[in-house]
Amino acid sequence: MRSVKTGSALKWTEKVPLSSRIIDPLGIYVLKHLESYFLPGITTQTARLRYFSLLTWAWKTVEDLNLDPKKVLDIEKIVTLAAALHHLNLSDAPVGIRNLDSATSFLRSNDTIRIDKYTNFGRKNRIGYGNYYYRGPLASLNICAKNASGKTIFSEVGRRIADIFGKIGKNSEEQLLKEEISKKELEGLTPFCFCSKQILPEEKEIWRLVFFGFTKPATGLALSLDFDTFAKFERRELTFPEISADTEIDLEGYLRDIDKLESVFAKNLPEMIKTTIARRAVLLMIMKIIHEASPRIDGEPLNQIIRDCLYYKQFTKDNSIRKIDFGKLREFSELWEAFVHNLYYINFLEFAFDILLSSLMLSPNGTTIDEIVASFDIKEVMATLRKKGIAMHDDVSDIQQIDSYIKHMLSGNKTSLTTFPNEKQVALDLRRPISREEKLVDLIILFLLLKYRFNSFSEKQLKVCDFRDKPLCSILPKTVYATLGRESIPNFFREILSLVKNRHKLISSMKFALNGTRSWLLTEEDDRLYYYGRKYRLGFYREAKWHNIVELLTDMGLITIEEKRYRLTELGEEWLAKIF
Amino acid sequence: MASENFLNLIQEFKEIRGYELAFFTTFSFDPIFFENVILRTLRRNNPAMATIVLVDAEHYPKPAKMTSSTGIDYLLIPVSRALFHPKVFLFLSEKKDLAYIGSHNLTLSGFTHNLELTYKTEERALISSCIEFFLELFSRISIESPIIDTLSKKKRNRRR
Repeated sequence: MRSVKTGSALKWTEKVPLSSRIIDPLGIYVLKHLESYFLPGITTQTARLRYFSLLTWAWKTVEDLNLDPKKVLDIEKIVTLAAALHHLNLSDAPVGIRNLDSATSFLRSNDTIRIDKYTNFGRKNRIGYGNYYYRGPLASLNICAKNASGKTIFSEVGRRIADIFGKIGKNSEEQLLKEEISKKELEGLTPFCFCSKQILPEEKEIWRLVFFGFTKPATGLALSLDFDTFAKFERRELTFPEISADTEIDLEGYLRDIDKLESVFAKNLPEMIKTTIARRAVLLMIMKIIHEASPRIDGEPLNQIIRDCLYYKQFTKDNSIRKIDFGKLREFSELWEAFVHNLYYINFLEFAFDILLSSLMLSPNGTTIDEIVASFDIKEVMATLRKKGIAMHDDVSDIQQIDSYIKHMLSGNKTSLTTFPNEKQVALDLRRPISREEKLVDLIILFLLLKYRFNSFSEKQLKVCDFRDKPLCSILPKTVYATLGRESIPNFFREILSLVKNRHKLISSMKFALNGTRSWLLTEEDDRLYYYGRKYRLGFYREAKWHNIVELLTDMGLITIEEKRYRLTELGEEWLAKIF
Repeated sequence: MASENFLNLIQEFKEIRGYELAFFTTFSFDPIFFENVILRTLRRNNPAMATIVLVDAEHYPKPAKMTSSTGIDYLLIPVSRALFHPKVFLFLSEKKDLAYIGSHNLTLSGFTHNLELTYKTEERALISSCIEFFLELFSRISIESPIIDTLSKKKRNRRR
């Protein structure tokens, strides 16, 4: 609805609808900036390698033949239909193929395929999800991007990739540009499917070189392959320079980018080179974890195993706890220890927010933070702490005393998978349906364990836990640890609930002002808090990229699944051996 | 109700520009919402706009709810004695004036959720009444500020 600009009349104020999806209600995922900074080109949406090839080719073809850019949508549709046919009645379709369900039902209800009739596709049939999700990453990878005049330009590597893709089928260009196609003809297009099996050896090879950074990036979207560095890698002579996380991330920039899919963190050439090397190191680090832990696809979540390896340098395999050594990447992996600290810290704040929202849901007439804290059974909290062996005496009344107990229990060592308590076990406990008082105890313990680990961090690691936050209700770990660590137990709860309440109000206000999205989960009127009725699903693993890395490495021929376990392929083992 | 009977206040505030003074009255007040949404939106096109908010004394934010900008980036004045319930937003400049008179508080719900009424006006007589209203208010609460002097000057100019 448009507002009326002129004219005087009595009017109703217009109700602004709530957003259907509320992403990051505390503006805290900015603490994951390391994965955006060090993994350019890989997002939470880029799971399949073939999209990178398809879209490079599609944009190149559209440019070369001077076609309407909308043709890219039709090309993506036809390849998605071919993928649906390739996996029709089969449950082996890999994750990450966009619109597969709609393509399957379109195939089932249409004998002749007219692309213009397939309208249940992508973002309102205007842009395919593949195109939407992979264009930013293709630009980050220096493969292809639009220039200032809107023309898509290609790097040397981008042109090679388009050539390779164009050789997949006979007369690819003619086939993929058809407006109408029979099912028989479509069968001939299944080699274009997005699954790993269909990726050509030379396609895998070039993408390996790109993603592992055996390339020469330059400004102005120039990218050529760097065979000299690759030869060094082959000769096992490749070393890793010291890599730090010197980013200038601020909350406002992050919130502006929150709905975009590729945050542009790396902007200049030295950063581009650094982040390319960092991406290589991350991919090798993940391969090392797969090699050592061979995670089961039906066992402990992959994300948890990766968290354990990076945070504790340990993992659980076949019921025993084992160590992992990142060798040449040891120093680099320290940055990721701080990153995992941030993930648990995100969990901590989100659990606190969940306690607040749950209390509001039970109070249709509104409530206050003081009333919520007064409803907590502090005696039961203390009894639970004693049961856990953390506070042995009745006179324990503040967080500092519990802190001393925990420090004593850990005797100056870092937590590990075998210590009690540890962050993993406490955080997983918090996900279980336990009593509110048990949750409150776990919240205190998780807070103190994280604070303890944070205090052990080096300067470099501390940078991973930093960004330019708003001084009001800052959630920077250093600020929160310093302020909440000295409180009495009821005050600790009062402060943490007030912090997440105010933080949510601030972030929602900022998002509203910056992006026009109305994403409040609660409101405060006359000092009383009310639940806003919008469902918010509390998540736990916030590191969606790890799965996509494993999928991309699978498409590159470096990882496979054997006997329900992720393992390195022969080539994967060869590559890893060049570093470890 | 037809859409022409509605007014989106945030959208309105995005579009108004060139004002030098702003006065707001409200019963309840949310500093986080006001500073990060309303003030921020207004200052994009009115960067040097001096702003005064008059709030019911009972709803004057407690220190715990104040931000580092509260009462610093703008003047925030509690109004006591009786319940202070008017909602008038007045924007003034050398060349043009604008007012919104309604039931909306300076809160999230007041702006985006509740059923509130508003009357938008540039009518000379009504704007003059609004200026009178604010001047009377300031004299009652004995506040002195160069902004109020400007308001008095504005009143004198309008009489000429």
